Amino acid sequence: MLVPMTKVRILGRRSSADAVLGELHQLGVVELADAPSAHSLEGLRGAEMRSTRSEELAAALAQVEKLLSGIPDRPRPADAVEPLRRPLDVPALRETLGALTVRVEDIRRRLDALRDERLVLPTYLEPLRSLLSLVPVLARLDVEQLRQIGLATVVIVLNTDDERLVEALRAELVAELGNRFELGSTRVDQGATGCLVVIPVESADMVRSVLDGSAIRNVSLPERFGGLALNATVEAMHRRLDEIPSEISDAEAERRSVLLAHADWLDACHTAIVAELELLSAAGELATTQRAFVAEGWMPRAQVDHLKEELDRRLGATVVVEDTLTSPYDPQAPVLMHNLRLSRPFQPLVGFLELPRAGSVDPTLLMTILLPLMFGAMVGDVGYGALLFVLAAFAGRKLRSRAADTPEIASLVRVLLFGAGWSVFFGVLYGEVFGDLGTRMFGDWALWHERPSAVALQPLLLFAVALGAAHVGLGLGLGAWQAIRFREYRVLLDKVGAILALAGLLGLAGWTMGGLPAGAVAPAVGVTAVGLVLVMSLHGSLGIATGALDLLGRIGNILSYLRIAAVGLASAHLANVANELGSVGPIWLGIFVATFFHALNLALAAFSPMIQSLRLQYVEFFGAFFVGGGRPFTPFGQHHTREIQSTI
Amino acid sequence: METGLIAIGAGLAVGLAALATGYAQARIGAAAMGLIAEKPELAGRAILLVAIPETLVILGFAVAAMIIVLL
Repeated sequence: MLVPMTKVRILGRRSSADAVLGELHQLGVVELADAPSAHSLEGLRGAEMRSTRSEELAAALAQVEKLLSGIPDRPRPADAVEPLRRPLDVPALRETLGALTVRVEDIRRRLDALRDERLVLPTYLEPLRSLLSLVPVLARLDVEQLRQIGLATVVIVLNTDDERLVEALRAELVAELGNRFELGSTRVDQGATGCLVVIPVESADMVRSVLDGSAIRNVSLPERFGGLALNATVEAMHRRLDEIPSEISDAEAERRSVLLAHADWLDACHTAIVAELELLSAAGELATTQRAFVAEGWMPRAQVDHLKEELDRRLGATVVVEDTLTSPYDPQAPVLMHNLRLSRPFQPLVGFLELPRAGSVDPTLLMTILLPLMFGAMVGDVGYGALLFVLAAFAGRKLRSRAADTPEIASLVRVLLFGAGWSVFFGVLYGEVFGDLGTRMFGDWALWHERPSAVALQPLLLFAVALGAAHVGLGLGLGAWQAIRFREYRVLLDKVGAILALAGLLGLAGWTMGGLPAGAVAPAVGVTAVGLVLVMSLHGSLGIATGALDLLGRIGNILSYLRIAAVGLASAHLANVANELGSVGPIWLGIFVATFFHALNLALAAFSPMIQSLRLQYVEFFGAFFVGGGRPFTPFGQHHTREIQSTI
Repeated sequence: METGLIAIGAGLAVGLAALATGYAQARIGAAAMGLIAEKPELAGRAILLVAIPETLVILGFAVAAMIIVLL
């Protein structure tokens, strides 16, 4: 059901406005509305100061959130975090946050450098390793030893394996040095060529400057490997690559430990900053006169007395709370859904489409019964139902800690639990355990009909249509009742007309099938005609066409429930095919094949019937009465008092 | 012979309706994915729109079932 809401007006001395806001924030039962606009009054003074303070707090909040994002999987504290004293000393807070950020950023930069090094080193290593074999003797000499014998080496990587480029390089070196150099080359992976040039030490700078000016990529080794022999460089790089992972782990552990040491304080900062930002924002919703202030807001009607008592107890008689006695059907009111504990998993599924308008029908309870029932009617297998129950229970346990982040998924898992129960029930009716496996083992034990049998088709179709007629009829009935509450009499007549026309048509169908006596024909025709005329007359000048089309749509809606039979039949046949294939060939192969097809069918059974039954709720059922457009009730200070919803 | 023709008729009733449903869902599905990418809060309505053409194949199934049951 939707909790009846009302708009309250809170008046008091202007000097007590801050105190009232603080108490309202603590209580968390009122969603503040824009009082200055509603009453053409001035807002609370100090808007500029509040804006500056909000900007400072928002910047601090961004810092806190960035730091907290570094430890997303931090363990939740066992005890409540000690709240920070308010008002917050923002400059001191930002200074502490800044120091922490600098420390964390230092570690991050170190981590980035290590990761870069891990990526870059192999690009040096591969060409160097390939070139070692070209100059085995020189590779053992370091730069100083090479200098002593008057030589220097330059390593070049060409981004091509085209030999002509090596020849072009040779020609360029000949032009500069004549024949006073040695050039060796070898192909390395990914279409590159490594070149090693041995030159007189006095020409080294000139050659390097020539190469820097050309389009050739010249490998310059990281500083830490400078001055080593080629052999030693390769070995040092290997050692370094082995060291890097442990250094990365150490740096990550250090960053985590620094953040974890401050996690509780950061949480407290987050809570305190958010609370103060809410208070600053709420101050803008207050209207003031010279001596008084006015606040307005929506709240559950049942909580008004509690609010009056609490404000009276905490602030004395300086504050007055008035219930403006708003209509429960006021479309401006926010929406708060409150249902039985059993039905709560279905609330997010209703909201997934759209929240119902304030004062309209909340279909959650009906969905609790009908959605799993239709799911079960489609799956209809004891074996699949039991397996789905176990899987859903397992998934529910796994998802329990993350239910707040993914309410729709958590709800679907719980719906699957209910649906699995109904699947077992319908499985007993249809006499199916993993298709016809039960029948093969124990004989025909169905309480009704095994679906794939020829005799079951007609009753199954009739059952689906009857379920559809009842469901759509219920929706139209709810729509009519809602129209009375909203005093929308044209809508009421439209719903009544549709109900009459459908009832008449179903009566005629019953007579055609032999289920009703001939005497029922005249009343059925009469009721259909009355209903049709009623619907047509409400659609204006084009009513003959649009009214008839509307009725055809309703009939289509009822026939749409045939999917319960269709999806169920497909599932039952696939299960039988699995059993049939399993009975061919050796027993081990049969078990393997049957298990594979049953697993496939089970996966389909969990997915397709859920989508189909959701669709039947959203399109066929909700289409008959649901009025959307509601906005969620977001009480001021609700992060302090999330439990308010469950206590109403 | 007659049974075979009945089976072919029933198969065509479901098959052609399924093709039409697939065509409609492909078009609507592509648009719905674009909608969800831009406005994730409308995912519920998008899924609803994708599911609507399925009625076609269900009606095809109804016709096929009638062909088998009544003929």
